Amino acid sequence: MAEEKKEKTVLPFNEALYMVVRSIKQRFGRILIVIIAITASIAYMVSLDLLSPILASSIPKEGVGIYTFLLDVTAFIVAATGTMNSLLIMIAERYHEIGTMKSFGARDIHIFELLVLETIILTIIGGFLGYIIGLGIGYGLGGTGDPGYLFGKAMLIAVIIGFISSSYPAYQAARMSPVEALRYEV
Amino acid sequence: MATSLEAVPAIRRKLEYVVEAIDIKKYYKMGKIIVKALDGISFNVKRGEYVSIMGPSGSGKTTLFNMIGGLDKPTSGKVYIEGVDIAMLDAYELAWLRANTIGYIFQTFNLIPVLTALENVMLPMIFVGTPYDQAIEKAKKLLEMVGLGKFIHHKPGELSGGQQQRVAAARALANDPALILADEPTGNLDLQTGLHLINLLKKINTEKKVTVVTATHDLKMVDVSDRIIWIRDGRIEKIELRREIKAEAGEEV
Repeated sequence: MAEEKKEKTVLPFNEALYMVVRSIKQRFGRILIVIIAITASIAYMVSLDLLSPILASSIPKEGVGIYTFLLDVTAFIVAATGTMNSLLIMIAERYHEIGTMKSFGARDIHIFELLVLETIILTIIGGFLGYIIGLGIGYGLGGTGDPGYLFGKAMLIAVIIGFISSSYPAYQAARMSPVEALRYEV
Repeated sequence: MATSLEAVPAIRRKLEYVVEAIDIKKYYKMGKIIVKALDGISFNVKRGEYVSIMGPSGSGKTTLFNMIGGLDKPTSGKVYIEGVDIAMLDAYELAWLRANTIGYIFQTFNLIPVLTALENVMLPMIFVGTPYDQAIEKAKKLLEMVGLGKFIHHKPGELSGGQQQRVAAARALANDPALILADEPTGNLDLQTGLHLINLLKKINTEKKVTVVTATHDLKMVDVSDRIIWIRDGRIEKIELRREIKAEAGEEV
């Protein structure tokens, strides 16, 4: 038994990814809300970045950097809070599922991994859509900027939003005991 | 891994009892009042036995059930599962014990809705690191055993309640547990489907030599149980052997 106790239950990454993709496909309606929130705020950010030189013409030169930064922060906060809010509800609806997985050997880290991974995939999709839309709006209105740099920035921010907004709800769900999770009524 | 897993059946053969509960108490604090959900319960479950825990709602049977499943820890007293004191286990070890030693069946089936029947049965095997091909083969066999060979690619939403509960039974068997714990397994099933499930549990118990413990107030369960533990107000009211119950029923006729 001493030998056996050293064993750990596992969740290989490809299995986790498979489950997450299935979950996203099946619950697309719900998940669309999260994607839309991210898409909108990334589009907002990208288009404003492109348009900032135009907007800046009426602002003192040294103010441009600060102004763009503040706009980015606004976009970030709107996206992160909106996403976290949706996730808190979405994850609470799955407490039974989480309790079940735990009673069959899932550890806290596995639950955390599944939920965060799912959110990051969503925010990457949203980030990409937002980038395309933002680029369209920005260039459409005559803005200028480096699309490559903006792509990197959009994706990075999308991933960071995904991680930050899912960490708390996922942590809360992961540390529940199976009994608590199974007893939970939504 | 191979050596340790091989060691498990050896331990199983040695121990007479799969579950030993010694004077378990579970108190909850509700404001200033202490609620005694369980107040000193002791019993053993022998290997291969079919035991039903019965009692009215609020008698503490679900709490007791959670204790012997290692899902919850008692306020005082000891619970041994396969000779292991579950209070001594850390989170990792507890997860390992749950995955390998115990198979759960819940009242509300609790299948993962986004996974097919086959994938649901494979899930516990993934957690213990069973190679994919082996897991698929075994999950197929288990689903055939419970009579769902044709439904392996269906999702829970496409199955009836009785079928879902049979998937749950197959999932409970995935890692060859020593013990199956079924909490009100027939609670959400109609009379006929409930009876099918009870017979399935009995079949698992006799053919696979798996110890079965159910918490229930379904009297149909009496017929297949070796022993019935009646709980009332957090205490054991009486423990009956099936023979005795049959004899009582005989007298009435």
